[in-house]
Amino acid sequence: MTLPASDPAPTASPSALSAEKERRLLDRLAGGDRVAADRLIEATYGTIFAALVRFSGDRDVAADLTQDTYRRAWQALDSFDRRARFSTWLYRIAYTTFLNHVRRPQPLPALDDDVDQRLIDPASGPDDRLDRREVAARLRRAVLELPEDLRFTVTARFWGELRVTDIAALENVTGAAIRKRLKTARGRLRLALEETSR
Amino acid sequence: MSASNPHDIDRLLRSDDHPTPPDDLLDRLKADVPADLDRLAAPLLTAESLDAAPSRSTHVWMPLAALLVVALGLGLLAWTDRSTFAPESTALSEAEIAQSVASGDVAPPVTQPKESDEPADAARRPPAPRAVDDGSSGAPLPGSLRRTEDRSDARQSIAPPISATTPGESATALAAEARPTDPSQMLSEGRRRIEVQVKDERGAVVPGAQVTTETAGDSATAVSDASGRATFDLGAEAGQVRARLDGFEDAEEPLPPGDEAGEEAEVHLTLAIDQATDQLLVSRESALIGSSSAATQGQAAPTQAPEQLRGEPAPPSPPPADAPAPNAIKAPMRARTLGSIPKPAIARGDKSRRLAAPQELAEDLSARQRVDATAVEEAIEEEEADLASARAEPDATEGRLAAIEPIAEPTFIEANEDALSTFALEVDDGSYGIVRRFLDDGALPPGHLVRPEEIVNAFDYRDPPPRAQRGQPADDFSLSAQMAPGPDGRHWLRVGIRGRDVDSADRPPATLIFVVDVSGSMDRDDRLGLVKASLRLLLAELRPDDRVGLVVYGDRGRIVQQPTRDLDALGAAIDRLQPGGSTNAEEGLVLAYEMAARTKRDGAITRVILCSDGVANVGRTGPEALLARVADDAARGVELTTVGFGMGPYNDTLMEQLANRGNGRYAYVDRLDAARRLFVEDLTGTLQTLAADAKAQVVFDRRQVARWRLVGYANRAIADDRFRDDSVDAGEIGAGHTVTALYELELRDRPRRARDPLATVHLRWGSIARGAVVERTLEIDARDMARSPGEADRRLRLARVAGDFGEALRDGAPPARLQEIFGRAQRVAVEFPGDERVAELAALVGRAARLAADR
Repeated sequence: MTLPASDPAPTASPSALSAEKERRLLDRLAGGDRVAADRLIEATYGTIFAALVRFSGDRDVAADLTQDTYRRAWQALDSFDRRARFSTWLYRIAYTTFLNHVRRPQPLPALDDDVDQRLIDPASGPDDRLDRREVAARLRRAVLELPEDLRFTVTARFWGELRVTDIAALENVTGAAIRKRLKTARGRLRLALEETSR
Repeated sequence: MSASNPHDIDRLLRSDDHPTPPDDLLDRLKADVPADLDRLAAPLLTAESLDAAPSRSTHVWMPLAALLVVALGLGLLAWTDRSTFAPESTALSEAEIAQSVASGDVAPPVTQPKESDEPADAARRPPAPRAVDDGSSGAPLPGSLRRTEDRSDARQSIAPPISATTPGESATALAAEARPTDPSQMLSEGRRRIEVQVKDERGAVVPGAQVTTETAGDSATAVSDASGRATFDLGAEAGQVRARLDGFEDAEEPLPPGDEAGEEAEVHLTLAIDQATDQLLVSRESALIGSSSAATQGQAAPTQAPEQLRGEPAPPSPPPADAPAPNAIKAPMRARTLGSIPKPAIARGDKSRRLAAPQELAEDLSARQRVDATAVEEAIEEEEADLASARAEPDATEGRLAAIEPIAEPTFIEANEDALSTFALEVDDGSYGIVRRFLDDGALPPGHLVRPEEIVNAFDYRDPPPRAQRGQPADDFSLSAQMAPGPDGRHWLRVGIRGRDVDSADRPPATLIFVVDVSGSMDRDDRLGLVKASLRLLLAELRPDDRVGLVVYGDRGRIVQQPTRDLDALGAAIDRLQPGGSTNAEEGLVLAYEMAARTKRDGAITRVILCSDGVANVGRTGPEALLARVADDAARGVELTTVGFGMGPYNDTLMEQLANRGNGRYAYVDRLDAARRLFVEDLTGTLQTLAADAKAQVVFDRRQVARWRLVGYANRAIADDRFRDDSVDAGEIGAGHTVTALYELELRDRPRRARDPLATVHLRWGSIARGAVVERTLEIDARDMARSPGEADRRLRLARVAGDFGEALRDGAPPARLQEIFGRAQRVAVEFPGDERVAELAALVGRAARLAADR
């Protein structure tokens, strides 16, 4: 198995907010400014949606879960501690929303075709395609089957695109601990993937 | 294989570039901003002012985040009910739904654009049962008040289910219930109704398929009902219909444009079996079935690597290690074969398979080292981390696989085929604490973490203790049974096993060696802080002839206090505990066992008590060596109790295993009241083991009992023919402990005489007091049977509530089921006045019902 040709480095959402701008928007929000709410949505929803696509493997489900995430967030604003970043806090809600979504006796949704396609190198042959598709599906499943602390850390880092320091603050541990978790998780995911290609 | 480079995993994880949100999502989100935003957002200003305060207390944030999930569930419900949030564009459909709810129907998923009819969307659906009396979201409450509010609310305001849902209803039926059945359901202007019929290749209807329609205007998703049908209310544009179900290939049909508004159309979709998926599922099942049959048939199953349970074609299993030589238990000193792990599957059921075979990992490791010699050190380190975290894996995997299956009817056993139920007694109630913690955090616990028997065993049923008779000292146990008919024609049987009470003054003196995890992850008030508070509670309970030693471990193990009676010195040592470093549990335990060996006193209890948030890693030798060591020392009379403190409950497997091997008990402490229960109220029971390797066998009379099932004890089953094999490792029971076995029975319809035993309970244990193996028998006959469900003994009713609750959580039962249990939980709480735990159970069931409805 080879890797996808492109190397998509971790990219923050293009519309990511600076801390300062976020602070100003939150101030306006506190005054009930609906435009500020719109700006916050615009700045964050791409990342949240992307994370939920990676979680659920299904764009429709992800869109619905994104909607649920924000609905929950608005209702819970009073428990938002402004020492945390809004986006980080929002990610935590999205994560919980997804877990509640799958915590029911339904199959995990199959990987959405669109997502699969992106993992497939167009130059490769049909066997390779199957392989990649399988790898992507396996990887997602393996991530979701990690123990909770590893799962949260890995998904927050790679799917939610949070910074290590933000995850560390959320989990109330050191950045080094988060990096250690990522390393542990990497090893386990690698093992999971290697089995699939055996 | 390029993925063997760790960084490739990172690339794979990131390799899909930013998925672009659907065009309409932004509008949907903006439309969702609630009308009362100013009220909701006002607290942000207050929070801002806190910023000036020293930011020491970031950990306060976490409970708040958990609280908000609870709080927002409430808020969301009332918010949805009022429909005030509905933006103009969707107001009509929301109103329609509200109307159908008002007319007593369950909200249909038909008209919502992008509706997926999954529980995640349930929050958007009006939660019918609570429509009126949920007034808790009127004004924002401070966090603490909010939680209290939620509790009382959960207790009082959940109305009985309004649908015809019966307990135990399958997911399919639930999906069917979600269909619109209200004829008054109106089509919106310019829309048409599409009936989709899903069948398989043989023409059989397929319920439970995810059906999605996509037109230019919108898309919607529903689940096909029991007759394989799903109904949509769509615009007139052309589009397509797709059906999807695991195990089948997706089916898709074009949807022609509609001619006129209000028309109805029918689309047929045929699902073809997906060969690849099919094979995958089969291999998974066979792995699981293989393991469970090994457990029940009593064959020593080879230890399987956890990976094999994930549905992969299994590489040849390593040959089974030597089975332990049978050796008789000699109470109080039990000899066991200790080096030969794995233990036979018969003894521990699934538990013995939770560990990867060490040989296999060693091979894997050496292969890796050959490949990349420079990474040897890292490989070892990672391997250990893998090993540590792999502990929980097979269990978790099984749970998830089980969760993927539709809710099944409970599996009954035909009495004609097997009339014997044999299991190791279990007093662990860790699962209860974990369930409580999840619910307190506002989330339903994942099904695979719920062990129903541990919920059942979390309560004091107040069975009568064994009594002294005719000058004979009291037996170790009393046996009692209660039976009653259930509402559905089946019958329920509770077997209660109550251990002798031992007065604190009568127990032998104890040497307790605490091994406290002070690694970085313990640096929280609900972890190390709780450990310290718990230890202080314990100190106050000790007798003058008890001694306590203290060992801590972070990066390294360290002796803090040699066993002493000096409470002041101990208190100071406890106060000095500081978190930091990694988690070298093995070194801590080794030090503790060395200390135990040095300070063991004849006639005294010597107990090592491990306090950790989940044992992140176990040094260089892996869990097998540690488990062997623990079992070794247990055989020498040093027992191990493990206490999980505020841990991520996903890590409890090793803690439970260590306690099993150490002949001790595993408990989960998430709050000080749990610590009080363990270290104060139940200290004697925790310390004074009455019985070693206690097991029970219930023999049903085939002429009277047609089918039976035991609630829980899934991984405590013992082969029927090993019941009198005293080398089988079974459960340890402490003084005053109660064990409950709960059976559901289907009786044959035949006249019976009152004194024909319907079932016979055999209890067998190694009695510490007598130094001998003892067996007792209780015959259960019609005289133990209540005449009607309402007349059932309160113990049986409490056990049923707890068992049903556990099974409902484990199986992801529909909200209506939880609400039904909630009603019974409230009634039974009244009959255990003053029992806070039973009252708490009712509150927990109510909360779970609420969360399930919101799911």
